[in-house]
Amino acid sequence: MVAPTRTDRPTAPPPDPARSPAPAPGAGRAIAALAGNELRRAFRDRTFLFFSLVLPVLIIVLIGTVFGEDQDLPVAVLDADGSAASRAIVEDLDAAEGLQVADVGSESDLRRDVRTGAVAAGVVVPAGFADDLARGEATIELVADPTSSATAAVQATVRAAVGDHAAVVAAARTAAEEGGADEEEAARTAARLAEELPGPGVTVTAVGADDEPERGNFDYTAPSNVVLFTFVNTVMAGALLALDRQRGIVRRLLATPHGTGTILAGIGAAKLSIALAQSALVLAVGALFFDVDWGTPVAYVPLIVLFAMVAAAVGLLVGSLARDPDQAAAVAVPAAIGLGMLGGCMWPLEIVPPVMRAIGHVAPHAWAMDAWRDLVFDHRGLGDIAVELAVLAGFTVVLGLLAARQLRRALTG
Amino acid sequence: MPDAATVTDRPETSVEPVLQCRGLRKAYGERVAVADVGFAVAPGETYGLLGPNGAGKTTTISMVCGLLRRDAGEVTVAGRPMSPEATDAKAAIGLVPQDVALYEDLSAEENLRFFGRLQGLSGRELAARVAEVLEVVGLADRAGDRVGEYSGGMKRRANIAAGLLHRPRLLVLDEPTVGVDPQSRNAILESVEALAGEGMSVLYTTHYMEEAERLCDRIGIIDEGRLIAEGTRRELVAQLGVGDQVEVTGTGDLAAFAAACAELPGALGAEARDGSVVVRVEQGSTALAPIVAAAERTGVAVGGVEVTEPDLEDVFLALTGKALRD
Ligand SMILES: Nc1ncnc2c1ncn2[C@@H]1O[C@H](COP(=O)(O)OP(=O)(O)OP(=O)(O)O)[C@@H](O)[C@H]1O
Ligand SMILES: [Mg+2]
Repeated sequence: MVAPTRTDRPTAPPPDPARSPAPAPGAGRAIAALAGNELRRAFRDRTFLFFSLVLPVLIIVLIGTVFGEDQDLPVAVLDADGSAASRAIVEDLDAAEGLQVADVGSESDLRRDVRTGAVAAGVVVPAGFADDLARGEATIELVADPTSSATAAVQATVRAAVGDHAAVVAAARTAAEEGGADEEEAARTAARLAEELPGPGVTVTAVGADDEPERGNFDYTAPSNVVLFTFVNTVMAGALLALDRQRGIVRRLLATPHGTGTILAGIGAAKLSIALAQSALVLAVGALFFDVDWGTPVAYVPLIVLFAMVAAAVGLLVGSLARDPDQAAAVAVPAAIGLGMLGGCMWPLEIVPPVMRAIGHVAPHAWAMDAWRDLVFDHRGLGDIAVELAVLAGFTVVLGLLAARQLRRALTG
Repeated sequence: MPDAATVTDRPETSVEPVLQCRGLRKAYGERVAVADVGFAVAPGETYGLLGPNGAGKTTTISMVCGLLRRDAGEVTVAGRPMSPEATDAKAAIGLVPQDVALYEDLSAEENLRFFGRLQGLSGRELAARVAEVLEVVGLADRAGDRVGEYSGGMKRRANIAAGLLHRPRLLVLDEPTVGVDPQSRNAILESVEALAGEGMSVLYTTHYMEEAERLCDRIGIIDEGRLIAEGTRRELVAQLGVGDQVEVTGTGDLAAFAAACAELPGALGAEARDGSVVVRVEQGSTALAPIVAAAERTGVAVGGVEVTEPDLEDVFLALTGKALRD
């Protein structure tokens, strides 16, 4: 080893204080520069724009048209009680928007019709309903195929229709797999749902048609599409980080006076903005053309923002973990769709076994869907989705930190 | 305080080096990419790291620039300790990575404005610097074109421009001329010479001996992760101990002439060949007159004289037993 020697070039200039390293530019300005640059690139990428802004709108329009409120869902109804109370329920169902009610003679007929798909769901008003109602323990049974996306819509409509008369427990049962129907499970579902409803007994709260919001069948599919698409697109956009890593650009970014946290925050802010633009578009289309009532902005804005943040964090984590862009793309899409399935975007988690429901809540989608259900079906407010929002914030923090750590590790060895 | 340590280590130094690194080490699993590298770059100096493919040049540079965590060793840039989190130390460096690292979907100007902002430039200063560096690398007339549409040489020039924006105290260039045509290459070398001429310190890696000889005030020879020699070109060659070679063609008693040459002061050896005598001397320029006198003494009629100095290629061969390039 040669000892470091100082050159004796006589021309070496003395250190110029004016050129001593400037203080590092603030992280805030760097984040703004990074985000602006990413957005500039995104808006120049036609394919990306199509997939993130045009396609989701097209799909929501398509689904909205198919599931729109004009197409009523056929529902079979069996009134086994024959009381005034049960007749009132059936009448309400009959009058409900979005349902086309047909009476059936027996429970076996009803189950057969559900099984064959002749109806989307069956509603059984059991014998003794009026008496139970008097005791405040009335139950209405919903027979439906859990894999059908219409189930939640029917369930919401049924609950809305009978809500004025009774505290109702809609116990969903699997018609498709009747043998596997588990009473205990159904009871647990019923118990859980009962908690969500206003107290037992006949609750008479400001009855009136205006008070009861319209619910199209689209009400379930619209939020699930927002959640599903925002996530898939944002994760894909975030995973593009792997491409910039491969091209050595992220390394060069790290050579500027900024740390991995700042770099990720800047890129993440751009992905987040795109996700928000996308959600806003879909919400606007749903509200304007399909009469979807998304609830109050005070509640749905934080919900959309937090869920988009989770999606951006997942995308950046994938982009930081992947060996190369191909691997990132190969992982991002199936992971995003798989989490969507698990988290109740393809079918409602209310109709899956409790174990699957618990497992489903590993996916941020499940929390977002829980919150959307509160906002869209039950017209609740910010306070009622506080837990879901907190969980989504937790997802963001944990996944964001993981992404930052992984990126640092991938870059600096 | 790392600054204090640096100063007490070299009490005789009045000028703080822009870059000081020592004992650098980095292993990837079993493979030791850099085993032991240390050197310093003085203000205004151009320092070359010369070594073959896989010698550890990029790994060394990555540690110098705080892009890679080191297993051992220290790096100080402009008196500040370097690490991946050391934003103040990084601000003093302008890195030009070995592979072009620019957004191909943006124009050169957009790339430069972006990287300039990250370096803390804004407004009129940013616009002025972008225009200046585009001028330096000769891309002003193509500034609005997307980098993806550039030729390989133009991309490399744009890549260099992005490292110059904030007038770094230390410009780090990692093999900036690999894979470019001779014209672009010359343009790149001229830009580096111009920047060095303005007093910028430069750390330059290459496996081209001619580039190191042309640009660098001092050169460190790196092989298999170790700095095996360091100095000016002349010092390195002198260290080799083989001296310059003077070949005299002529007619007459060449054997007697060779014997006379071998006795001259500063001669390391002489050998008569077919029609010529090859004399190895410490320094060719001062040995010429005595050699010609010896020819006259031994009655040899001199036809021609050629002096060849050993080059860095020879130094590398002598130090490692292998060629710099295969
Ligand atoms: N990320 C890495 N993982 C594993 N090995 C690595 C990694 N980076 C470098 N190496 C190994 O370390 C050694 C030094 O690599 P380095 O890139 O520093 O060489 P170099 O002198 O820059 O070569 P070149 O002239 O080809 O650019 C090589 O053997 C290389 O294979
Ligand atoms: Mg290299």
